[in-house]
Amino acid sequence: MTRYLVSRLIQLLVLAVIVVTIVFAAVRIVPGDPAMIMLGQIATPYEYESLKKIMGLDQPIPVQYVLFLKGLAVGDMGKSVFYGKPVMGMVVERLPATLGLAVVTMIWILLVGVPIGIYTACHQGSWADYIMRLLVYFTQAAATFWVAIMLILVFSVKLDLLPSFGSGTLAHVILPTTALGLGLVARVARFVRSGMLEVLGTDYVRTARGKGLAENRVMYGHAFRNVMIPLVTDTGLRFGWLLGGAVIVETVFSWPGLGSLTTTAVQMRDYQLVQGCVLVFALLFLVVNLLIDVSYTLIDPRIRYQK
Amino acid sequence: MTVTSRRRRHWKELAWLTKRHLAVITGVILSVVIVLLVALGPFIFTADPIAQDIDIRLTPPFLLGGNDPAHLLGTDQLGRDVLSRLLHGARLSLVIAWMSVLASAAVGIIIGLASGYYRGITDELFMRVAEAEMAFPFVVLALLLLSVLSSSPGHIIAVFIVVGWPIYSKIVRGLVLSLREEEFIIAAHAMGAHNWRIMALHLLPNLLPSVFVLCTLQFSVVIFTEAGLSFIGVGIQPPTPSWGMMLAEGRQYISTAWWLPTWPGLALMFTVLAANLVGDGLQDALNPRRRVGMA
Repeated sequence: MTRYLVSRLIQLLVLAVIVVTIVFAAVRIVPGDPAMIMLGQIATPYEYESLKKIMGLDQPIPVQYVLFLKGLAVGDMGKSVFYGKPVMGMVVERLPATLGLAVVTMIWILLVGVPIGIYTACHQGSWADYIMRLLVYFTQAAATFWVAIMLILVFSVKLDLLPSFGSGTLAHVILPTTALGLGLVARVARFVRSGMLEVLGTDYVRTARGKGLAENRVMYGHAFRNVMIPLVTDTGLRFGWLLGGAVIVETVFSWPGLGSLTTTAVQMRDYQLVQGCVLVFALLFLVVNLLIDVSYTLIDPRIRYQK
Repeated sequence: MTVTSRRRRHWKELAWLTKRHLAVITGVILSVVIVLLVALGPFIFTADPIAQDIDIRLTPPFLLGGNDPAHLLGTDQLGRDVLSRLLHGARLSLVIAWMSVLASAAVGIIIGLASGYYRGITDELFMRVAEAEMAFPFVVLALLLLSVLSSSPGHIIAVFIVVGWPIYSKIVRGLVLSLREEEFIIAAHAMGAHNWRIMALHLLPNLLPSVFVLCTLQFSVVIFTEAGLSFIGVGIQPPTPSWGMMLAEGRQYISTAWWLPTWPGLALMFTVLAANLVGDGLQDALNPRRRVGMA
């Protein structure tokens, strides 16, 4: 287990270095001049040169790269030109709101999606099964930010039930997490359904039934446990998708997270801040993936990662 | 056998096939309708998508609160016809989405083929970069690149290619790794076929079906991202109409004009639905484990 963890950590580190390099390269190699874009057409050459200096763009690229890495090593991601604050502090301040949104979304998706999946697997071909299938197609075809706007239209504007922006109370969480999760809940249900159908035909499920276990016990204790591993992988991979969706959903609801910070940064062309936000998104995804792999050992005692 | 009974059997078979492939048939019909609407729509609904007319601003859709059949889906805050804007916006969105998808597939195929076939250092290098890129949410990496680039349609396509290739190359590489051990490839080698010939004539045709399925599924990712980018103002720039921008503008008028944010999202939904249905159907057809009955 330790050996496995160490090798996974090394892999993670290699990927992290590439991720950092991509972020670094993206804003410098792409044929556009960040300093010029930030200042617009009306800047004097003096302003231009001094902004370049502030952003460190007056150095040769290899030197910039080393400085960039050095900074990251001590948690320094430069200064936001627009806000005049260190990027690191801003990102850390915004991160919990985004993570909270993602985690609450994950929880409700699983709480709703798993039972629906199991139910439709047990009642194959029933009306619930067909409605489920239709819902999967429609919810996956709906853009998350459009769902967000429609939810606001119905629940905030027409019915005046829930707040359309901001954060703080439980009511503020409902619409953003619904918008974010709607495309996934049907997917989870489908995934559980097909997984269950495969498992339900196996011998050990028949044995469990044969020895007189209650149907619920067979379903959740025996059959569903074996659907959990692929489910965790699939849902975990969707976590990245969720973070991506959060970028625009947060903007719609003015949710004070990393996503809305990223869009503001992009709109302001504050590319130091964009760089920091993007980096955190990618690193977060890498860490989540590692956690998923490690969590397999907890779910499935057959996997122990030793060689 | 009489003609009628044969015909009846024929119909039965057709009904069976239709039922079995209902999803993909719906998808194809929907796709054709969308393409026809986008191609011919502007000749039928001739209202100018950028002509403003303040007198008729925020007219509700015909029969849904409005009474002007010239503006079936209503008008926006500047009195522009929403239907024309939708149809014109569709053109650019669809072209950008399909060009990005096909171009990233092409790049992904080339890199995936090279990685899977030659392996070694090429493989290591490309696959690590692909994995690293896939750690970024799609829209986030696109945002990063567009924060430095001006957002012309050309740039948007270029960004989508840079962000989009990894998933194709990963899939292609996996397929090549298993295919290169197959007998027909070994035979081609033995007959002295050049590497290029093997890759282009023996491997490529076996990759295309899976890649095409992936294309239809990636289409939704790309068109959502493009709409999302336009929504936050770094995609297609005004006055060119785009669905994302119409959504963003419509959101400002959400309490007075429900139709403004509703239509572009529905348009987006049916477009993606069409692609997803076709993609799912193809996946069923290509995956022998999921293929049932009639061969």
